[in-house]
Amino acid sequence: MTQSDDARIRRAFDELRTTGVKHTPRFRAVLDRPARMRRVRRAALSAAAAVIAAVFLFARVALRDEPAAIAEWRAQSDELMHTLTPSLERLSTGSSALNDLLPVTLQIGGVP
Amino acid sequence: MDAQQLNEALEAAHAHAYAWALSCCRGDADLAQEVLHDVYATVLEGRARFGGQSAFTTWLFAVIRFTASKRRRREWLTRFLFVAPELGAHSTNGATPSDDAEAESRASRLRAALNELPARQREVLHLVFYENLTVEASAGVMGVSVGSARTHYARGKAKLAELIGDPETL
Repeated sequence: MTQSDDARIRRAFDELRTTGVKHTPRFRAVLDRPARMRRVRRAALSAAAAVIAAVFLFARVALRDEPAAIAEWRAQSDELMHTLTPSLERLSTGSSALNDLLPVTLQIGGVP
Repeated sequence: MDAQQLNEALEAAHAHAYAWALSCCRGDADLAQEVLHDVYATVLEGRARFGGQSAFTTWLFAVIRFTASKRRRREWLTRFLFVAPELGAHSTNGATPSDDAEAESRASRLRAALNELPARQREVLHLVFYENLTVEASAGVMGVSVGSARTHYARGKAKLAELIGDPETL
């Protein structure tokens, strides 16, 4: 970095300042800038945020809550089957009616 | 400062404030005006108060920088969500046909070179060379330590000198 580099950068910035001033909007124009654009932007952002929230909620239900509910249901039905099967088998040895019922009961308990 | 004094101070600093906002918005003139409008509203409504610990412009520049970075994050979110940003594409300071086309062209080359620098380097160079602030005051505006600002200043200057290259190009 030399003195001449420094001077060159300063000169370039001076020129940028001169051209920049020519394009500066008036103070009042900036201060009184209509708010319409900002309202549109805010509405668009709100709508997009609502969509994202809905997607997250759906993903949460689909990926976390639902598998948990299924697992719970499966555990309950397995437990029920575990409790009932020996009794039903014992009873079914002497009864043809229960023999008919057993596959149906097993089927109901086994379907996820 | 009462409302009248604030209004006058803002108006006096307007040209510098706009140039700084433009730099913070990487040359997007529409966004710079939006940012500046928000800043003026914030200051005039008393949501940002000038405490008098620094020069008014130094404080104003810090508010502009903060507002611009907030707006840029929102712009990014808007683009990320595929909502078309209504403020349009980047424009380069609203270029219009000018008598001094050569100066205009050199200025836009410098703007392009500045846009290639990392944000901190661009900011410190703008504050020092364009706004004529000291590196210490620039550090205050940027919210970094003086040592860090000096490092950004030195690196930025070297990189910019490299980018603008041949003295004949500027």
